[in-house]
Amino acid sequence: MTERHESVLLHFFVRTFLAPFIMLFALYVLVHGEASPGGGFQGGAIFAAGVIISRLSLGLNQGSYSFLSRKTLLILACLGLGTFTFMGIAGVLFGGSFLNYGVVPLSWLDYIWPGDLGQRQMGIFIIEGGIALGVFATIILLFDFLTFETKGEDVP
Amino acid sequence: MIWQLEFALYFLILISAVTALTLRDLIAAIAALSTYSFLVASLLALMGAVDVSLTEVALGAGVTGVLLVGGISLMQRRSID
Repeated sequence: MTERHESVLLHFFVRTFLAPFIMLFALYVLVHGEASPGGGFQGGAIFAAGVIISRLSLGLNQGSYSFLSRKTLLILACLGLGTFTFMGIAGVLFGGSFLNYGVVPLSWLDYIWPGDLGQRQMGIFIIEGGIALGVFATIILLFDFLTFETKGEDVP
Repeated sequence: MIWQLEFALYFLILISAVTALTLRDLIAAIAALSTYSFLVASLLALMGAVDVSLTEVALGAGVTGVLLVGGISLMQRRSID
């Protein structure tokens, strides 16, 4: 294995020009998922790629990262799964079947965020956000655990 | 659908798959595998399945390659067999 060298210019270029536009495209894919190709899974995966590319430009075996630590990522992944499950159970609580968002009263969200979204579309949007959060956190967790050599210490 | 383009894509997919199987340098094999995934994604986009194609590009060509490179950084680079 050859000697690794750190490149400050590469990291600066990736962090300043590449990663923000990848994340912006991921948000576009996520929000326009119901009108055009895309959705929660793709948006979350592209967003995770934006974070991973800035971590990769630092070089492998960096130890723990300060931006999104593993504990934060684990909490985010559980939050995404919890959002999905909560939205599914909310349909049962309001008298419908499981994952039936049409009966959940979400119309008051239109006052906060103006738009012509119906209840069902707002429910689908919340579900997509949960999926994106879960996929995003899980992919970065996979990268973190795979590229970090544990030298006999406990993995948090 | 343009059949010449589709035929060329099938040919390139075959070439990149055989290249990924026969290479001894594992990093180069990962590069060939990412090329294979990207070509499959463009074939899917030609067929009209843009959603599947987007997933294939994001996961197959992007994240899987990064994860495999991370895995290879923990072991030796050249294949033994």
